[in-house]
Amino acid sequence: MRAALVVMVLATGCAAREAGIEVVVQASVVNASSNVARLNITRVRGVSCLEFMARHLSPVSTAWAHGAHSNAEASPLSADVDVSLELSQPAPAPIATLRPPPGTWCALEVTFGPSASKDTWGGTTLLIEAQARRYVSNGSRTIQLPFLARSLSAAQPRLDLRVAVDAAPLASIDPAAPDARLELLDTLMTSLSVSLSE
Amino acid sequence: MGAEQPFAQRVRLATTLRAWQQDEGIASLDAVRLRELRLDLTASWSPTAWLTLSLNVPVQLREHLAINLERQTALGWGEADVSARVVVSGAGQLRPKALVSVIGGVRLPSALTLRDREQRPLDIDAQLGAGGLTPQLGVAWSGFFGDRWSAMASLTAEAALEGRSGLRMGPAAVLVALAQVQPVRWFGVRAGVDARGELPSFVDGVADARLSGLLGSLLADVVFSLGRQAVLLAGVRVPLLDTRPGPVHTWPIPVVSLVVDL
Repeated sequence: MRAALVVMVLATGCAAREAGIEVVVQASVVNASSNVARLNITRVRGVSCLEFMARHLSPVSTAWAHGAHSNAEASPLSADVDVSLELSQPAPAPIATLRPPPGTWCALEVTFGPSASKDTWGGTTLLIEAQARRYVSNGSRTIQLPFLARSLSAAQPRLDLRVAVDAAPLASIDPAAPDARLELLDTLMTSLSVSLSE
Repeated sequence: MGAEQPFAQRVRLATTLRAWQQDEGIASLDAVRLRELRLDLTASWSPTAWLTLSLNVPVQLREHLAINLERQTALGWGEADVSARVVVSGAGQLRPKALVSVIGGVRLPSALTLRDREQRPLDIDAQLGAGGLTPQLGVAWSGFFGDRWSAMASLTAEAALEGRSGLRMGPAAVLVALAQVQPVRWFGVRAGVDARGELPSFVDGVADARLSGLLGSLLADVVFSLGRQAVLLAGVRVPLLDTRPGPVHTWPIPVVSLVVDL
């Protein structure tokens, strides 16, 4: 009986897959805009606590939240994406699933940049259509969103990160004001937050 | 098995157990650790003194560990080898000084495509073979020098057809050359080289040269004769020369084998 079982297992083969560490990144909108508005995310990256502390303890100041950064080499801590977030829709949108090695994270870095889409918002980072006018920004911004240190290991393999974009500032900005496009994008950058769950 | 002098109507059974481990990829990016425990079950039959027919079926337990600790495990039959060895020089002699053989065979895509509980196929590196029919052709030489010394060399070439997931393994050649000394009837030691050279593989027609190149290992074995009909071998293959661009690292491979004549 036992021999027959062994032969049967070998004849049909036997396979198993144990999921490893996974970090699921989603984005959601609070205070959704009443106008058509899209914000494009091009990259997400987990920031180790070592890197995070080194950056923030460094005596050399950095203007980290402004401008694009060129250290976009491939890494299991990051994912290049092209997700246009509808700022009029509060439902969470999946951004990426990262499969990093064990480590301890202290922040999520999010890069906003022009969309590669061939639709009407292609080439734009932020697009707002209001009062029959169109406001566009094609700048790039990278921002780190800190959270309490979280260990990723075989014992704690799963982490859900939700980036919240508060669209309320869009309602208070006068789109007709000078330099409104830059102001809109930078204002949105100050409205970001991240929450995490197991 | 494969270098000895055949005798008409001899049936020979062998089991070989080996454990290997290979680390691939960049540690901070896409590192993968492959480990396998492999048991080869071999049967051969010599209908005449110059022809030997062989069947080898491996049973493999393979583990694929990704950088994010995802673990894929596979257990089952691997890819079976069917081969014929024709002794073209030295056959039928009572104490030949040398044997020269030609070996032809084929590796069959007998390993199933293994899937996890959600019916997703395991990664190609976690499967128990590339899944491509692989013709093989080789030559072997054995030399016997007195009662104590012998030597063996074989060169085998193989060229795989396309297997699962669009993978076609690169053509490869395997050279094994060793010398053996048997100071007493029941015990011997042997040492030599075990080298494999491989051209780039292709995945969906795109060349992948990461694991192509030459891997040369030093082999060292001890051999025990267990009576007149059984031989026990234990040894190790230690990689010394590796020209594969990788990044790849192959660990030493321990081997234990038992051969029984019926």
